[in-house]
Amino acid sequence: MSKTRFPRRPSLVSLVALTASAALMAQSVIGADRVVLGEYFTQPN
Amino acid sequence: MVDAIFTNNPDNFIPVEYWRGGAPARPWCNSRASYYGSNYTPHMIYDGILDAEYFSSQYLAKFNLRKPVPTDVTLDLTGGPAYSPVNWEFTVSVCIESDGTGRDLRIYVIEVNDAYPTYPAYARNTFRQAAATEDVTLAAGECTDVVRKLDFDSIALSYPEGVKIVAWAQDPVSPPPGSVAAEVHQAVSFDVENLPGLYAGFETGDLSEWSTAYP
Repeated sequence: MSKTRFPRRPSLVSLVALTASAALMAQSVIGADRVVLGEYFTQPN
Repeated sequence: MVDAIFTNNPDNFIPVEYWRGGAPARPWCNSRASYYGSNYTPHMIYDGILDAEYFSSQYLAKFNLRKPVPTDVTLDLTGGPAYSPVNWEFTVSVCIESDGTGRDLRIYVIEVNDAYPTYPAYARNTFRQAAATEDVTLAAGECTDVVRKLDFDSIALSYPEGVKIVAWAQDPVSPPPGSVAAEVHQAVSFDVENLPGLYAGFETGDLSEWSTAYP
């Protein structure tokens, strides 16, 4: 019988264990390139 | 239109949608509307100073007006470490370039969900929660860090691919009633799915945390 692996969400225990030693990740804005913030007020149709 | 601008300018535009009604509404959404004196929807405000009002046909043109305006503020947003599976720390490194102008800035850190209450494109970056703001004073060439912890709720954890942390640096002023006059100098976002440890084994190849199914 064949087996197929499917990803599942990590358990709470594995989340804590893995985050303890994990490196930081970053997303940076470089130099003077502008990122525009669009604040948009809306409501349900 | 918001979806189209976001899709076509993923590196230069961060929308934040504040719901004024329905399940996604939060008190902070109304506070933010009061801050700008906004009393109708839809209402788009770019960088705290460019009011695109409710004219969706003008949203793109006004975005294109704002995008090329230079800024001397840089932001670097870092995620982690975690203090529990739901409590994560985020650090905003704020700098003013050496040839820039020293100024006071108010740093905002919020969580948005790009998959709530519906999948894109009807709703983009729906506001979920805000950390306390912090006012900083920087001279040209100076940097500082603002650190905040956020708790993720069940909605965020059920679909972390849609969760982002957004930070921006804004003039620490109260605009006159009914006006848009508090400039945002820079903004940045962080995809929570990039948090180290949020997914187990994808980089190492250790798939022991994966389940096995028998078709």
